[in-house]
Amino acid sequence: MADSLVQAHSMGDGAPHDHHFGSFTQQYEAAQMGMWVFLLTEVFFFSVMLLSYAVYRLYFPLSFAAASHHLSVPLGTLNTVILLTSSFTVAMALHSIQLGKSKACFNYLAVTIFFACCFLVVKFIEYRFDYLEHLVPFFKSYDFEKPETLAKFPEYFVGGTRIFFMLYFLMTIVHAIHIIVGIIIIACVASRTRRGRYNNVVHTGVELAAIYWHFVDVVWIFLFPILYLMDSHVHI
Amino acid sequence: MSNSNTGHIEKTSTYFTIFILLLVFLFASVAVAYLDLGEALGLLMNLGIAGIKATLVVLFFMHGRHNKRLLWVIGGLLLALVLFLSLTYNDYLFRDMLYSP
Repeated sequence: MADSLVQAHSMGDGAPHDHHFGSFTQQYEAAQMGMWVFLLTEVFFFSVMLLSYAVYRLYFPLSFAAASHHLSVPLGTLNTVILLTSSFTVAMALHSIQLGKSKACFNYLAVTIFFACCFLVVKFIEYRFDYLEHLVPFFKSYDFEKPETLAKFPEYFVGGTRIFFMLYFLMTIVHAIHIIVGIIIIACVASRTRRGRYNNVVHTGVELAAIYWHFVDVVWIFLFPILYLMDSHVHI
Repeated sequence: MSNSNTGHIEKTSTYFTIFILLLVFLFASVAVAYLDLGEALGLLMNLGIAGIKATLVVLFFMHGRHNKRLLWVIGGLLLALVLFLSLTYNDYLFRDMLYSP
């Protein structure tokens, strides 16, 4: 495997590279390594939030179930479909530039940005719905623990739903920030593609943007079942 | 072998198949979520399907399957992650047992 990679890389070695790298291959591998190391730190960053979710779910199982029933599964599913599609289109963008089709690559990147914006719009609709339902724990209007509900499950409900919504907003807002950063990165890469900066040999930028975007997709793949689906079968 | 610096070019059909598979797994996980499988199995299905989807994305979309060294690094990371998460969770899980009479 390594041999074939070396062979493939050495064919790109005539390509221009920065003066502090020995070859284009070395520059490419350093860039790819840098992106992966960054993503590994991101994995730990998100996993801490997932861990706090797991711990509080252990303490407030019914609160978490009751609170998650207020999230819209259809909208969440729609957003997952949108993100999976955008992941597919960004993969096709990389595929196109690997074949030297920079026009197709630009088009796929543009479609990816369109889907990313769709995701943000759906997320905004959800947030607006949460606000109107008084589910935003940062606001004084937060009104989930109604007296009649509290009377039903007194010991479970103390603070639990508030913690769920805190974690929900924390995780989804941090994820949405990653989406916004991804849109900016893909827009820069698309602009460079249009100006003819990438070809079938030199396209490190497209590849790194694609890897980052797939990572944002993977994070959502875990957030969706954890926040929306985990307690769908529980009747409260 | 192509002259791409990624070394491997997937077929378009591979990307499309994986995309369709991801959608199938998504709708499967939504459907399964409404079945009452019990706490443990429900959790396993939920996170298991998410894990399968993430693996498909990493192996095919991110070209992980052509970069074995990278997969070793990811494997090491996951091991560290499992240790870190499970030991911390374990602490919370059994803390009451220690302090209750």
